[in-house]
Amino acid sequence: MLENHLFSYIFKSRQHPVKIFTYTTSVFWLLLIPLARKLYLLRFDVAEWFRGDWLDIITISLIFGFAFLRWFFITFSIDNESIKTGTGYFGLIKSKFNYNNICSVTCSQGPFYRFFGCYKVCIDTNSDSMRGHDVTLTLKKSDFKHLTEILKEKNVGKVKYSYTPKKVHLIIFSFLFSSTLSGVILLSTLMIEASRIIGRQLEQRYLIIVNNRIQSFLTINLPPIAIAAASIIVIGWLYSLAVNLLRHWNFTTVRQGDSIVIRSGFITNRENVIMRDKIYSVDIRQNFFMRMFRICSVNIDCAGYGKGRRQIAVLLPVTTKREINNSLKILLPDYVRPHKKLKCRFRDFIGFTTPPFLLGLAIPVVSYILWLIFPDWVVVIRFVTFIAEIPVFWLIVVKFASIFTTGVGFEDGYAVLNYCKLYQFHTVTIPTEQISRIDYYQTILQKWNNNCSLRIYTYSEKVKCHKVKNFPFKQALTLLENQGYNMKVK
Amino acid sequence: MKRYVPAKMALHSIRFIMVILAVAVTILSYIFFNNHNIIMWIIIGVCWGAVILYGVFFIPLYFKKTVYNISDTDIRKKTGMVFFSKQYMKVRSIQYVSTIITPFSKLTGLNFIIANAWGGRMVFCFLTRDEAMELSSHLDEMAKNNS
Repeated sequence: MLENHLFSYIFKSRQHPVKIFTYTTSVFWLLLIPLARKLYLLRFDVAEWFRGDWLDIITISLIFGFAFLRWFFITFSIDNESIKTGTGYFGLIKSKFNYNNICSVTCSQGPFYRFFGCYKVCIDTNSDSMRGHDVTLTLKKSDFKHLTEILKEKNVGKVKYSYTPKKVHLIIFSFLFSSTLSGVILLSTLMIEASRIIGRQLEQRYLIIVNNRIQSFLTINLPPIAIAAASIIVIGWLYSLAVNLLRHWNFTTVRQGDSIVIRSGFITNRENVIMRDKIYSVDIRQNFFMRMFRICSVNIDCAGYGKGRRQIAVLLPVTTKREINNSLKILLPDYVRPHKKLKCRFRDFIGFTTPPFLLGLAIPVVSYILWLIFPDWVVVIRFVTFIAEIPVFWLIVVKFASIFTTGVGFEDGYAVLNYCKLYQFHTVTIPTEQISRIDYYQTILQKWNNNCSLRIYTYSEKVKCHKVKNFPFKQALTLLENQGYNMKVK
Repeated sequence: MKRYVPAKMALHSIRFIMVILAVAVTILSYIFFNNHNIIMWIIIGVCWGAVILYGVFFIPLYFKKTVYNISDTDIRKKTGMVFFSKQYMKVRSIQYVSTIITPFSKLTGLNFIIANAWGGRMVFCFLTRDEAMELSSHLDEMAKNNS
C-alpha cells in the first residue's frame, strides 16, 4: 500500500546529502562564510543580522532550497537484476539499467568525498549519452558497498590475475601522454582572471621575471613575447604531467571472471569495473620514440571507461613489446592478434610525406605575407616561423616511418588495423562484427599510382573511423572480397 | 506489430500551454515596453502569430503524421511537421529505457519514452499514460534480453 502512496517518495533511497553542496553552482556555498562571520560579529543578534543582509540571506536560501529540491527528487534503487533511477527535474526521468547491459561502472573518491564518506559512481551502457555518463550518482558508503557486492558477486571465488606496472613505467607514461594544451588553457585562464581583478601588473611582472631569468643564461636575444609563450607552454606541460602522474599512480589491473577492475589514483582514488565482453577494441599506441625503444601503451574501447575530462582509457600504461603478449593473454585471454596481410609499398612514400611537406612549405609563405602586412613584427614572425617548422619537420619524419608499419589484416573473426594518426602509431584489434562500413577512396596521385586508402568505420558507443592509407588497389579489393566485403557496384 | 499514435489530449495540452505563455509574454511586453509601442506590438504580433501558426497548422500536422510501429524485432517511427522522416531501430540494440511521466499526465497526455540504444536513441512522444506504461515495460523486457 505504502508503495503507491505519495508519501512513499519520502522514504526512497537518495544520494549522499553532500551532493546538495555540489548542486549549488560551483563554490557558491562559500558565500555562507562572510554571512556567518557577520552573525558572529553581531553576537548572534539574528534580527539585526537579517535587517542588514536580508537580500543576501534570501538569495542564498533560494540557492540552497533549489539544490535541496534537486537532491530530494533524484532517487535510485538497487536490486539484484537492475538499478532504477529517477533523475532530471522533479525526478521525472525514470530509467532502468539491467546489469547485463552495463558496460562499465566508474567509482571515484576525492579528498572532499572521502571526508564525508561518500563515492561518485558513474554507470555506462553502450547507448550514446549526450550528458557524458548514462547516470552519475553520489552514493553513501552502504549503498556503494551494496552495488559493488552485486557487481562482483558473480566472480567471487574465481581466480584473480593482476597486473601492476612499475613506478618508472608510470612516470614514462605520464611523461609521454601529457597534453600541453590543457595545462596552457588552465594557466592562460588564471592569468586572464588575475588581470581582470588586479589589472595587468601580474602579467607584466611575470613577463619581466621570466625574461630576466632566461636572458641571464641565453646568449641570443629573443623577443619577450616568445619567451613568455614558451614559459607558459612549459609550465602548462608540467601541470599536465603532474595531473597525469597523480591520476595513474598506484595503477593496478585485475581480471577476475568476466570483469576487469582497474584501480588508480593518489589524491582521488578511482576504481573502474569493466565487463570483459563489452571491450570492443584494443589499441596499442606508440609515438616515434616509444617505437624506437620498443615500448607501447595499450588502450581499450569500452563505453564509460576513460570518458571523463583529461582521462585516458588505458589498460596497460607502458609495457615492452616483449611483455605485451603475455600481459594481454592474462588480462584478455579471448583476444586474437591477427597478422598484417596487406602492407603498403616503399615506393609509395610520397603519399605519406606529401601532406606534411606541403604544410612545411606553406608556413614560410604565410610568414612572408604576414611580414608584408606587419613589417615591424619581423623578429616575432621569424621566431614563430622557426618554431612552427619544427613539429612539421618531425611530422615528415614520423609519416616516413609509418610506411614500414601501415597495414591491414583479418584472422579468426578479428581485424588488425595498423596506421599512423598525426604523431601516433596505432595497432587496433577489433572483432570484424563491429565493422559497420568500409570505404575506399583514391586521390589523383593514388589513381596514377594505382593505390587506394581505406576508411574503416567501427561502432560501439560511438561510430569511429580508422583511416589506413596507400595500399595497392587490386590487392586491397581482393583482401576485402575474401573477407566478405564485396566492394563492386554493378 | 503494434501501432501507437500520439494522444489527442496532448495536442490540446500543448495548445493550452502555448496560449498561457503567449498571454504571459503579452503582459510582460505591455509592462516593459509600454513606452516603445512599436517594439511591444512586434513582440505581441510575433508571439501570437507563432501560437496560431503552430497551434492550428504545424502541431496538428505533427500529431496526424506521427506513427510508431513496434514489432518483436524492430521499431519504426514516422514523424515530422514540414519535412517528414522515418526512423528504424533494431530491438536488439536497445540498452536501457527511460520513462518520463509528468504529473496529471492522464489528463494532459504528456508522457514520453526514450529507448537508449547503441550509438543513439529514439523518443516516443505524447502517448497516453496506459500506452506509455505498456510500451515502457515491453521495451524494458526486450532490453533485458540484450547484452
